[in-house]
Amino acid sequence: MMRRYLVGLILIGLAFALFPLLRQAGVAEAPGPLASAYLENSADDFGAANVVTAIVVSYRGFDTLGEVAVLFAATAGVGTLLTRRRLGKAVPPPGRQGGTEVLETASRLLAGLLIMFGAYIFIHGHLTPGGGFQGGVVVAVALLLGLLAKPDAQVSHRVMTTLESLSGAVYVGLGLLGIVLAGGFLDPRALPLGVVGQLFSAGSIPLIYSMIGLKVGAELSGIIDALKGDRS
Amino acid sequence: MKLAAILVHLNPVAIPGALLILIGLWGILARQNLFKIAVAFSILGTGVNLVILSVGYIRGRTAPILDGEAAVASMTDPVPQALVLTAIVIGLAVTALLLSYAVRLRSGGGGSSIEVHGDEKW
Amino acid sequence: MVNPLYLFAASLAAAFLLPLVDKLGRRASLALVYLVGLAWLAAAVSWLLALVQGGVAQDFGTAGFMAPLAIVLRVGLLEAAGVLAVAAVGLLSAAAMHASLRQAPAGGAMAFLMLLMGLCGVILTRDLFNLFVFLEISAIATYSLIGFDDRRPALRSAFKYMLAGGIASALYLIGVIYVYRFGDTLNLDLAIRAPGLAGAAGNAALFFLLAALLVELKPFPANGWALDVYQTAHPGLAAMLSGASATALLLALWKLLPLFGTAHLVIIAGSGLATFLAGNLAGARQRYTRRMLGYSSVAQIGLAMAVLALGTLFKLGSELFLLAVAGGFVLNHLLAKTGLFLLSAAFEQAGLTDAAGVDGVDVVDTVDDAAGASAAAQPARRLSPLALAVAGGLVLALVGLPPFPGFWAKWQLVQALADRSRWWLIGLILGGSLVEAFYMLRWLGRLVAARGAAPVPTLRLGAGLLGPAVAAVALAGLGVLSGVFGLTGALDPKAGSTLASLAGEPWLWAPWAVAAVLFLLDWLPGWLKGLLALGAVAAFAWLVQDRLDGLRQIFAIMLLGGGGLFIVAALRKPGSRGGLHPLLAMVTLSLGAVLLAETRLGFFFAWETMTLSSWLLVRRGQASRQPALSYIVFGLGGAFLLMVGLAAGGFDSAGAWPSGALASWPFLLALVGILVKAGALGLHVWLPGAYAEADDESSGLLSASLSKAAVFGLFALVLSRGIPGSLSISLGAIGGPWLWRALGWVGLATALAGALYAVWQEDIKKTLAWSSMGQIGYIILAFALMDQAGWTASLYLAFNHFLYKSMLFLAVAGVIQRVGTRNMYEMGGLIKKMPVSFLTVLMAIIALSGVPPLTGFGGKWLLYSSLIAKGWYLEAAVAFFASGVAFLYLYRLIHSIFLGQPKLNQSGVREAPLALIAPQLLLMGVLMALSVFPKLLLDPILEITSRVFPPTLGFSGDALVSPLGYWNGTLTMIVTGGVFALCLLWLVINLRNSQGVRQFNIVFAGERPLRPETTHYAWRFFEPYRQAVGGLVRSRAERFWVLVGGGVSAVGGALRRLYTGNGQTYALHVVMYVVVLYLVMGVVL
Repeated sequence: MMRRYLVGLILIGLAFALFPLLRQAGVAEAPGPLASAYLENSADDFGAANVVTAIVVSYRGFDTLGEVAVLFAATAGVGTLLTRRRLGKAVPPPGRQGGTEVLETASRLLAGLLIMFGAYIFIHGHLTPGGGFQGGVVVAVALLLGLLAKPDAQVSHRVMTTLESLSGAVYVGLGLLGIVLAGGFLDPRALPLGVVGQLFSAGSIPLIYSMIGLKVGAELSGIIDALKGDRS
Repeated sequence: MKLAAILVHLNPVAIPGALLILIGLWGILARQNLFKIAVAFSILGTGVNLVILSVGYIRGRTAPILDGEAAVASMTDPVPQALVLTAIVIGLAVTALLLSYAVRLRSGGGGSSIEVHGDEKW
Repeated sequence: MVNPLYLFAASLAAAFLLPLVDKLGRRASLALVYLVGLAWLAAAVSWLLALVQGGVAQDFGTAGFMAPLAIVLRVGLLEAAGVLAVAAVGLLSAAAMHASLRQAPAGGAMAFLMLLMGLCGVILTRDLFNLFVFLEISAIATYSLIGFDDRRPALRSAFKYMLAGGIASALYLIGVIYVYRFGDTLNLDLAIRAPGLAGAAGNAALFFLLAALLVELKPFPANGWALDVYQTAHPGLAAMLSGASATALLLALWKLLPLFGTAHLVIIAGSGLATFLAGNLAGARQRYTRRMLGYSSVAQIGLAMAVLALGTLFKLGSELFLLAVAGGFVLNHLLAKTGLFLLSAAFEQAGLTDAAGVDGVDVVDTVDDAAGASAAAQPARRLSPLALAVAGGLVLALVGLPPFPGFWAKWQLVQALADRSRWWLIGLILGGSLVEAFYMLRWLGRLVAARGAAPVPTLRLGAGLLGPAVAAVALAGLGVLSGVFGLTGALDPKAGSTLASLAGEPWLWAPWAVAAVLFLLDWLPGWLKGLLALGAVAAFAWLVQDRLDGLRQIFAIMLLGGGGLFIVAALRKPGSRGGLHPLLAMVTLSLGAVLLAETRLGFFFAWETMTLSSWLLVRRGQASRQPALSYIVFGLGGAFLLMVGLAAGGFDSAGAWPSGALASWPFLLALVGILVKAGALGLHVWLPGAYAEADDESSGLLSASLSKAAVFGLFALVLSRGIPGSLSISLGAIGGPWLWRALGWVGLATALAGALYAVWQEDIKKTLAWSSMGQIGYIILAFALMDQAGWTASLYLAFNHFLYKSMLFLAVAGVIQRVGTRNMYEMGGLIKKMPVSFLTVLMAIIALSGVPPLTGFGGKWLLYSSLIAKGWYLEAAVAFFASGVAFLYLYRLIHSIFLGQPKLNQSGVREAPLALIAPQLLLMGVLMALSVFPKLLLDPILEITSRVFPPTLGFSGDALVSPLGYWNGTLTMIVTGGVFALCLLWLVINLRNSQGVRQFNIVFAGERPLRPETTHYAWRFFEPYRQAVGGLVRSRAERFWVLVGGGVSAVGGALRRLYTGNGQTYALHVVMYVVVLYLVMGVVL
């Protein structure tokens, strides 16, 4: 009980630190110089209609590469921690209750659609809201749905790993291509920029985002699969 | 009157964000169950993400996508939106690992309460 | 310069492709990991080379843009050094984790690659958000690695770590987004200049950034999770965390430092110092090696943090200076801690640690080394000499002893703080260091002395030793470099001259060089090593002879000559006697170095070398655990006082104490520091144990020679005011008479207490130890007279003490070797079996007691006459009484050991070995010569003292004349000899009336006993006296110091109760810490 009061007291203290900050920040009236520079230049620099994507994949593409690395490291950790042997589970694991008829049917129906939708999101990342991460998550949802319907189904580990590895390597390769053919690492101008607003525009941004989409999709699927606890 | 001025000035995205942060921390600090703590982390992360987004929020402006008719002058700040993406993914990674460790701790015996997993001390 | 982005690309590509490569076999994937590590290493080396050769720091943009639009990486000197450190530590850690990485799933290797890259990114990036990303990469890779080899306790720790790390990253995000809001940039360099960050709002935003970074740096009390991780994770990973991660985080903090205002800096400094103190206090209470190392790690990082902030807060020096000092600490800690954790990994591999992370090499042994429960838990194996040397180097470096980088950094820091009169900071830092030295050296001592009664198998660590050895060698190399070129010399040769170094004093390295060479030759037979050591001492003496002026010459005979004698004595036992000869040579040469030092730094360097080497010598003894520990704690404590005194002295350009400063407190501190080594009453509690429990020849060296180094320190301190330079003393500078009167009484009390304690000892070495303390008391008393007669007496007494105490210890070493006990009541009647030893002891006690005709008489005569001439009558009376007390224990030396009835079980005892007899004969000869011709010794002494003070003593013919009378040693000898001859003659004439007495042919009180029995008793010989005046010597000082130690330990015990083991509590600590910091910042603002 003491502990609860203490926690309450400390959180009040933290609020005391946090709220003045929020109040002073308030609501911005207009974007600052940096944001304005991004808004004004991204079309000219990279031919990307979606300014956020231009920032995420190019200007601050190094962050995004790091972000992929974070996810990768987490996948590595999850995969290491949750093997069947380490969980001490019997092989094969005791049968679990499958999904209902409705879920099974729906998941079969939706799987293809979801993957298509995910791919659409990451391929169009430079044009519309969304991008590699969002698309990748949608792709992984397809798998999640399938596993909910059939918990004992085994995902092909080899395919996932290969997909994840290669998409990651291609991403890095595209980045290096930027040094060779354009101004620097991850510079999308290695490929022709095209016309703003078209699918084949913004240089290598759509390619990079597709790779990210594939990689994130594969990694999240891997995490979901590992959390299921029957990986060898 | 003064209160109203303050309220108007407050950021409508940041306030719920801050509240979520506090709620998340409450969960982390006061809930015993390992999985609930992981969930609390997600709440905390969501709060932080809202706070990040709030910095880019500008009243009455649209998404920063150059779409022919949308003028640059009517767009919000794209930077926090770019940053929050990274923050979300990292939050996801942490949650996944937290859950994995929680699963391992539970399956290793001793249950799901954080109190029993504290043999190293002093 | 190589674009670092290539390396990031390579690391990522390698990591991403690792699952595919792993199909070829784990060997291939691990090769890839090493390859990437090597690539980083090579790049860092190339950057460093380019920068040292005059290159400038270079920025690398991404995506074809620079700041503010894009993320920028910077390669500067510190960044390159940081990456080098991370890569090197990474490679070593990976090698240590090799076996585990091979067995665990491939995720381990992937996470390791990510950790390596993440840390490099933390160092290189100039973007605040990018910094967050890299912090998270390394954090998440660490989370993954903690569990990778499936240690149960590590899983718990990982969860705790994630709670703290998660909260920290939330704080960082809040901070960074508001920094963007107010500063409108994410680039660090632009943020530093951003006007929006200067106000209160910016301050608050930066606070969150800082708080997150601080939490990652494991501050007290928000660091429970880190300790658990250090304890339970794979030691290779712990090395990575303590060495590489902490370094990268410190570099990140250093990068951000220009962003922060005064309030932030105060927070950093305060938090760092609190962590340093609390970490060390709690660390002193640890049982398990890795948890102890964890506490020490946390503490050291706190110190480095504090130094960074303090440097800016108090403007301690130029940027280069700060870099050198903070860098010295960081580098020192990074290498030492990496090495120690890797050593712990090797222990684990060799089976010294069980799977639960409980170390077999237990740091606290409740029972003594040889027996008991802890010994049962510990496999009876001892480390190979190489492993010991490596462990020793690492520990010594960690606690900041010479010649390692931490030593130089500490000296510079204390000097800089003293220049700005931040005394309390010096006190805190040195206090914490002392506690750390206590527990780290206790641990080392246990490794050094880990041996049973029977010969134990040697534990070879094999390949596991490689990593620690690399770290130790690097430390030694860097330490020597910083010593020779000054701390910054390695960075910038031009700046080297501004910082103190030993550039002009190559002789001070002799102890280390000789010890290293002899240690490498330790496999040779003992006699050969003895000869080599003797040769080294002789060569040293010959080489430096023309650097010795009068005073130093006299001391050189006592110190170097004494060392030589005891090296000869070490030949008394056959066999290799591992470690003994290098240490004897090292102690001897360090004594020589103390004499030769010409700068304050040099003096302190030599002083610490002496303390350290003599501690190792003491630790070699059989039951030396406790005595050695108090010896080193007092030794280092005294050395620290000396250091502060020398640093704060405010010397003029000639290195002299400023006028009137002798009575000021820096001088007092230095004086007390030296009195600790001299064993003055109250500061003496280390003395009897250390002298008694060392090996028998080592005891002699400590008591006869090493104690004279303290005496020399006294003279040096006053004479040339901090450095033993010329003999020109300006009397005007000498402080008030009260100071010297007080010092005199300290000496007197020491003399009296030493004699009283000596009387009631049963252990012969304890008797000699206490006697030694008492005799040093006389020397201090005479020194305090501060006139020619007093100093002459002091030097004469010192030399005399050297002679007879060497003789006594040599003789006693022989007796103990032959008899096998140190208890006097178990001996008796040895006069016939060990006649030479008897003669030595007889002559020595005559010399000690001060009766004619030997030198002691002259000493006492000088002492009393100079006391009386000065008007110190009461002092003279007490000194006289103390001399009387000394007769009591001296009598026992003869009576209990050599006279009376022989013990039955000692019938086979022979005379001591030649190695002991020969030095005794030599010393007897010298003693006789000096007794007959006192001029031989007094002339050089008078020559010195009359140059310092107006002469009141002088020779008239063979007689020494003082205002009170004269002493003619030759005449005394003749008269005494004549009287003795008369008595002898009478005896010889009456000899025919004598009758041989057999052992049991006894009669008492007019009756013969029915059964033969021994009547020779020696146990509790002076019990009646003890009942009468024993109350005078109740061990108050011991009790006081035990109380102090207990208090410190209790504080540590209370502090560590914070760490309940509950991860949630740790998370609570983190949030609480942040809130408190916020409040503190509010107060400071």
